Amino acid sequence: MHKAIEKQFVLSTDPNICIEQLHLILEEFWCVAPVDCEQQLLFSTALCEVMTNILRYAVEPSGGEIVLRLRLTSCLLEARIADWGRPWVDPPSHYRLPDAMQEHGRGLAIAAKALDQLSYRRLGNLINCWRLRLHV
Amino acid sequence: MEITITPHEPTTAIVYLQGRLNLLVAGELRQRLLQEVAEGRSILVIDMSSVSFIDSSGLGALIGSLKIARLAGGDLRLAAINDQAETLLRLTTLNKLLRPYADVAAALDLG
Repeated sequence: MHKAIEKQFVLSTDPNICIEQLHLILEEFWCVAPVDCEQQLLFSTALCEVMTNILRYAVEPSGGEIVLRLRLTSCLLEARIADWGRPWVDPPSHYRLPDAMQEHGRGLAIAAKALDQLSYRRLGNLINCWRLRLHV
Repeated sequence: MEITITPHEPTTAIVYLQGRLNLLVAGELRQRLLQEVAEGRSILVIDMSSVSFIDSSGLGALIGSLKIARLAGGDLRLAAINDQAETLLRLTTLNKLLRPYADVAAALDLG
């Protein structure tokens, strides 16, 4: 059994910077986190979809930050994301894939399918909190 | 991401992509592919061998281009996708709509 790994990062709200930061963070995290390739792919795919959703709908490109915490225990891979952007007023109870020919609306459904748990809550009408969990 | 488009036959273009196909480049890719269809090359073979990562925005650009290509009597075919793209197609059950081919030659052979 390996020791738990926990890391925290601050990312830009500028999509051009944030997405690059996220891929570098994940590359480095997988170097120290013993997670099999299939689960790395699922988790990375889900995390990028949630981050893209935040960049597209919650935050402004300039002047903000997004905090990401990654944690691996003996049985759980988890990401917590916090941003100080607009609230998601009416989140669905579950995420549904659109029709095959639809061009948009897949991101969070992909994340939910890739993970064991995806949750969103607004904290104190100030912070958007996302939690992504995958059992390992 | 680098997008390199090479006309193959009067009706076919080979589209070589390099890098990450995501939110940042999806719009440009869609526009470039639609331009190919507008110029008569409605069979689009997308060489994915150097795409390291694709997200739902990238997938959306491919689906949008597939729709337009089919309306013009053509098709969009993915060649040489990596494990992450395969995972994404499986999660979205789009592996039937965007059935991947082993390589560019296999995708062209269908023509």
